[in-house]
Amino acid sequence: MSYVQDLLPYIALIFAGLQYNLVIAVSAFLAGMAVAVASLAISLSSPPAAKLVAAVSRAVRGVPPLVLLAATYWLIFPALGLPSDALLACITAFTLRTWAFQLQILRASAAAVEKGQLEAALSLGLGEREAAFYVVLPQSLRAALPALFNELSSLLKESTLGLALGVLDALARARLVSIAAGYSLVWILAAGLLVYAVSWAALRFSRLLHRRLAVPGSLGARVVELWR
Amino acid sequence: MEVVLEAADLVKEFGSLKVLDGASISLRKGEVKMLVGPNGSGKTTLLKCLNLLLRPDSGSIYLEGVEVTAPGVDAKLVRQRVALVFQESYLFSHMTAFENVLFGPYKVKKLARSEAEKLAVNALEEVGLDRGSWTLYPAQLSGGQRQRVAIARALAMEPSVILYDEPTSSLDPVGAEEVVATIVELARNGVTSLVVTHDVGLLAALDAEVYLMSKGRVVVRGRLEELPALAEKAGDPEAARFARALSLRLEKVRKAVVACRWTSC
Repeated sequence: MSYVQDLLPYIALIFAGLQYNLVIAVSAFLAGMAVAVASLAISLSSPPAAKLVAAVSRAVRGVPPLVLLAATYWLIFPALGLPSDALLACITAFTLRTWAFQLQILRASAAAVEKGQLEAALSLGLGEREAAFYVVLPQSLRAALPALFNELSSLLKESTLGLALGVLDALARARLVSIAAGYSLVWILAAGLLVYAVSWAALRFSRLLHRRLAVPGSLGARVVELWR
Repeated sequence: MEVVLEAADLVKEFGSLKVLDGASISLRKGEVKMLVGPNGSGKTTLLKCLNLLLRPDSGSIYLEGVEVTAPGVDAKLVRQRVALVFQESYLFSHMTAFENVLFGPYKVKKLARSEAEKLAVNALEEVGLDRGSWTLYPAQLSGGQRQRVAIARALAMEPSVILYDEPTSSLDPVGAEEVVATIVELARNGVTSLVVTHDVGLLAALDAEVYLMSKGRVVVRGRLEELPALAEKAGDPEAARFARALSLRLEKVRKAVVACRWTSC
């Protein structure tokens, strides 16, 4: 009994590290989405901007996340004169990374909306921007929901790479604990289990949301039913 | 009667392809006209130009006496007055039937919610959609119901004219019958309409003057059975052949209707 009690502080220490994973994943996800929607809107109205956006996104998607982290922390931040903050650098790098992927997800789901519906909205006398907002955006966000939550779950897992910059996340703490207490595999598995639990909860929530938002009678709604 | 919509010598090119080559039409208030022509003769392009969804390269369009092709005219305001009903209904699939119809007056015209709702209710009643279906989504409606909601969506904008682009051609016979009945009813109530169709059922039911289009121009106009001879005289044998085929089919439908009356089938 006392042996378990000795272990509790270690587990609490690792558990507290999860906050960093959550902060990195959630803030990068939301910031990445905002920038992705904005750059998609800009791409639609300006072909040269679209080319630039596509090129940057391709480059970011092709680089290993660890390299992106290193480049942000040791190259971009000093070059911009920003303070050398590991957490901030981590959030920035992952924002860039998830922006590039979310851009692809949103682009594909927007392309899947019937072109005729956009034309119908325009023929009613709606402006192009409003038509995109009222007709294309709600439908493409619905279609993109599962892919976006996958992206969030990947981010949560990738956020453990923050330990390379010295962020004390769940995995980094598991490493420290294993140095102090031995049994390294146990602690690393424990950290993995914690991250898995959060990721599982997020995907459960995504399913719930998808079911709630599915348009009755649509193909999407029928697919959701298959998953139950 | 006052002319609601008039188009003169519309030209529209896509690259090197001249889709409209001097097309002209004219519609009076409360009038229904049909527009027929072979595939690729420019019917859909003409309708899209009349709605200013496409801008004609040259020629002019007058809506209630005002030239809307003049520079500085807001195309969005013109589109609000000239409604377009497509071959596919293209309802907004994430909105219920009612929300689809409400959308125009509420979000486009930006009327007060209560006022917009009144227009939506009237429009849905006018197309005869049963109240139980108002809260259903497009995927839950039949093809005929969907197309009637699309017509209601157009009506709720209180347009000066409705342009129909083959409104029955993607429907099964039951759906087509529903939509024909709706269009005929609206025409009877004085809704100014221009109907592009090859559906002899719709042609017979509306029994209106027909424009015949060929190679981007309106070649002749008249009753459908007069069109072959008129087109021949106008020197367009291809259009004449098309008109002959269409009027033959119309005749068969009329005969079948008469036969049905005699044999009470």
